[in-house]
Amino acid sequence: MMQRLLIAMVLLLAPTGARAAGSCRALASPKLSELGLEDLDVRFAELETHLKKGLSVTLLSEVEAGDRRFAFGCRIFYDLWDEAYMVFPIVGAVEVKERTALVKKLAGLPKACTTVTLPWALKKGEPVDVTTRLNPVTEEQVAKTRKWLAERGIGANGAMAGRAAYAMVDLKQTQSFQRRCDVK
Amino acid sequence: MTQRLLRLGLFLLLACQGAVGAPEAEAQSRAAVEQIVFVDQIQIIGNADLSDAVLKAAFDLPIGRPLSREALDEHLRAGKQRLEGLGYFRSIDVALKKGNSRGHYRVVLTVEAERSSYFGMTLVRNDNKDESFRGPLKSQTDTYQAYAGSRNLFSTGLRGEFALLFSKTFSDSEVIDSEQAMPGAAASLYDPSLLDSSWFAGGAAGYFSSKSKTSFNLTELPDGSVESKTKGQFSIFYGVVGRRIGLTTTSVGLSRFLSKFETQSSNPDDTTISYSAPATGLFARFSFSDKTYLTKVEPGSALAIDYNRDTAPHYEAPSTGLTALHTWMFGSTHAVTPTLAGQYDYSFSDDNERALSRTYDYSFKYDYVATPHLTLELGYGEYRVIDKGTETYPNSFPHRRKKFAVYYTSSGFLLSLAFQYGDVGLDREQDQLFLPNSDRFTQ
Repeated sequence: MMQRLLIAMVLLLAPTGARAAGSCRALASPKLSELGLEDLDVRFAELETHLKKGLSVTLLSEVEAGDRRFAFGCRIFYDLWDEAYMVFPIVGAVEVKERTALVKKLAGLPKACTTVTLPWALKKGEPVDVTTRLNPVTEEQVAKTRKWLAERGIGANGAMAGRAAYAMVDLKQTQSFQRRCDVK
Repeated sequence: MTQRLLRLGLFLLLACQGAVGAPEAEAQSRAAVEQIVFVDQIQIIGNADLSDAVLKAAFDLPIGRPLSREALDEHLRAGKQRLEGLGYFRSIDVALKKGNSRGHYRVVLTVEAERSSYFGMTLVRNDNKDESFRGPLKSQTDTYQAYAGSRNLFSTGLRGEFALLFSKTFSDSEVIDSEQAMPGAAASLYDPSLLDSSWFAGGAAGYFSSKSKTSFNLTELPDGSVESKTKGQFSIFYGVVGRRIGLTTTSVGLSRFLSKFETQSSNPDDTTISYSAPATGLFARFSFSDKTYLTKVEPGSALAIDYNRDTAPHYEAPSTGLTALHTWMFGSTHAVTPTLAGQYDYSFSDDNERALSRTYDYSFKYDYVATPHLTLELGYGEYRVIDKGTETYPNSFPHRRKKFAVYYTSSGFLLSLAFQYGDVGLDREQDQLFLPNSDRFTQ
């Protein structure tokens, strides 16, 4: 009985999260290296539906090579009045104020979202990890929402009468993908 | 002169018109360049249960005010997150639609309500093996509870629950055999957010009847044994009001306990004894807990001080009791959650018989957060009286409990099953089965 219980506990405690796959290419260079993400696990059709509702999409990638860090990505808007997309690149975690040209139709993620020229050079075979987040939520926003919910006694196991306390409220977390780059 | 006055009048008229139209014109030109936008209206689709005002208050989007495109996006995202946190909706869809003119939008919220009503059953079997002051004691309690409730009673946002309960207890020792049956009903009403504020209030009432039979096998008795039967009923009323500030909750409450019992003995020398025991309780509780599922860690602690005054004498003199309860929880919402609880009870009767007990309770919970929801709990508790006790109950021996419980909860019909072994002393779940106590409201 105890053995079965332990097995059940181990199975339940085992980590269930799987790392998203996807490829990444980077070119070794004596000066500045270019890095590009391919086959991101993002279904562009889903993003397009989101965008067509007038909501923005932000894609932010954090590059980690040894003790060096860099971030890049983009923010995409769909203007309901112009019926066109606007892409604002993010480089070095700072949003570039100038947008790319208005685009009537997007076939996939714009190049600005997936490709960047790093401010440093990569060596061949050097390990480079990239974490990409879709619509990241800021810590400040998380703290604000937490406070708002707590003050109203709402949330999982919140102040709901009786067994309604079991109602699960799991706020949607940011979708993220991790990959290791192959530096050639 | 007339012409100059006319020109001045025309100039002032144009200037005034310009002044009135200026902000809109300026905002529109900025809208084109810097993406300044306006939301003129929020349209809600699919919300049959909750008042639109409550929903809009939670969404908290500034209407008719200029916003940068980026700020609007953050407002929409945060608003959606707050609506998800309310727990009323299964799905929430946010979309912008074109407004009356360029740069103006309306927000369309399409919601699908989570079923606000629920019903279910709780079955608990409790096996106990312990030492009593007259030798080993074995007991078993089965508790059945059926309940139905709503998280949004009559679309008011109030939470209400009605429960039918039945418990049956057998105990067996060398000198005493007893059995007791106790059916009852309880109802509770709770407002989690008084006037959409951080204040809350709730109340509960319960009625139970009890029938028990006890056989004493005592060598001291002339015929060796005697049997007594007791029947009666009791009612409990309870009210609480409190406030949440940040992650802390403070509440105060009042409880009233009324009972009436009658005992008949098979011993012809004993007469029928009738007694009633009203008691009044006051409590204050303070707790800190982060249960919003936004963090991995869910720390929490609670401190409660209960005061009870039993005003009617039955077996003993009227008594007064004070209880301090403190609970520490520290764990993760997706892993094992250790909980440690300590409780001190101090009670004294008017004839100065005193008893002080101390209870420790440790438990480890594993919550498998999914649908259905599964909780495994392993617990150990110790209950120890550290004073002389009373003459009637010379509690000088420790009680220990081991607990293995499985709680299974599906959406829709909720079913909780718990098997406990050796349950003596502090047991929050057991308390909750009999009455919607303050933990229901404040945690």
